[in-house]
Amino acid sequence: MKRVILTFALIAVSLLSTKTFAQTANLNITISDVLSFSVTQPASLDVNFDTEAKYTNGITALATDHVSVTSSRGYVVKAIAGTVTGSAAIAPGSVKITSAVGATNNGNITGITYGSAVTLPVSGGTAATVITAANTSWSGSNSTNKFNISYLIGAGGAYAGKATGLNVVPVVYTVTQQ
Amino acid sequence: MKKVIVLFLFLFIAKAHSAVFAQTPGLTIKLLDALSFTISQPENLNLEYINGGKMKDKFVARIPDHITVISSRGYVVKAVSGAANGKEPKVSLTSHISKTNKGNTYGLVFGRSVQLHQANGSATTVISATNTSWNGINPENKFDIDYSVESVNFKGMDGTPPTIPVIFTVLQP
Repeated sequence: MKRVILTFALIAVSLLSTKTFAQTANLNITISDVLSFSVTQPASLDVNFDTEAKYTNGITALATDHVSVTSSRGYVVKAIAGTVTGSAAIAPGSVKITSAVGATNNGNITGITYGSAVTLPVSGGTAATVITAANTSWSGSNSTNKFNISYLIGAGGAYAGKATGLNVVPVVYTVTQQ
Repeated sequence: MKKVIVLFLFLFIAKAHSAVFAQTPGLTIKLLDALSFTISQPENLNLEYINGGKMKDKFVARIPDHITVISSRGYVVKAVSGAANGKEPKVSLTSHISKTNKGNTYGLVFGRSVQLHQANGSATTVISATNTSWNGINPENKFDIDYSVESVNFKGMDGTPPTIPVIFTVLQP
């Protein structure tokens, strides 16, 4: 009988010594929109019209990795002309914009729609959509979408007969999250 | 009043959430003069005898698409006679727009029976254009030229007829 009591006592002590305590810590995670955007100014955007072929066919100025977007969700990139300066009073509509995935893009390309030969609207008009992304730019640990932009400038003899000299057509890009 | 404030607050928050970023690269476009010019050399120059009546008789030959000009702005085509072998006949030129021309015809002035000055003389204007040759994607102006030589110049000639070089120049004024 003594042995039985001792065994029960031993079991009771053993149970008490393996007691578990629980505590719960909450991680409060607030997810907010993240959006950043940059546009480069490469030398390829300086063009000279000095041959008949250029006046007839225009000049294609390719800017690789021109637009970079980091966005936590879908986004839209739009473009519109700024105030044109120069001797020839160049019409912004003589510039067509085509976008494509960038040379060094590692971001998410699912759900991206690229604009093709989008006519650059005049300042004060409605900005034209150049890139539409239905999803975030993140692809795993790669956060940024990069885009090549090609500008077809002055095709179809658009600048023939205009005063010679230097002209600047600013292109105002904006990005908004959808 | 409370509702208005709430509405403005809501609009402000909505605006803040549709963040917009702007960047502005510039396209620097330099326009320079472009000018090119070709003259065809037809294998056969068939002169047609024209009885001038009270005027002097002459030989006339029309060369279609003889002159082609591509110019980013207005231009002038001039001609002068080169050194002819033998007696220098009097040559006059008349320009016409070509049937195959697709370029800009606005502001073209055509020379009519323009007497060529002889070698070392001043060049005579055959065509003048106040505007570019481009018409949309069509860059070229094409011209037919009539060569006219007074028949009196050939009187008394036998054997090889004279060769009369005609020197055309184009310039952008």
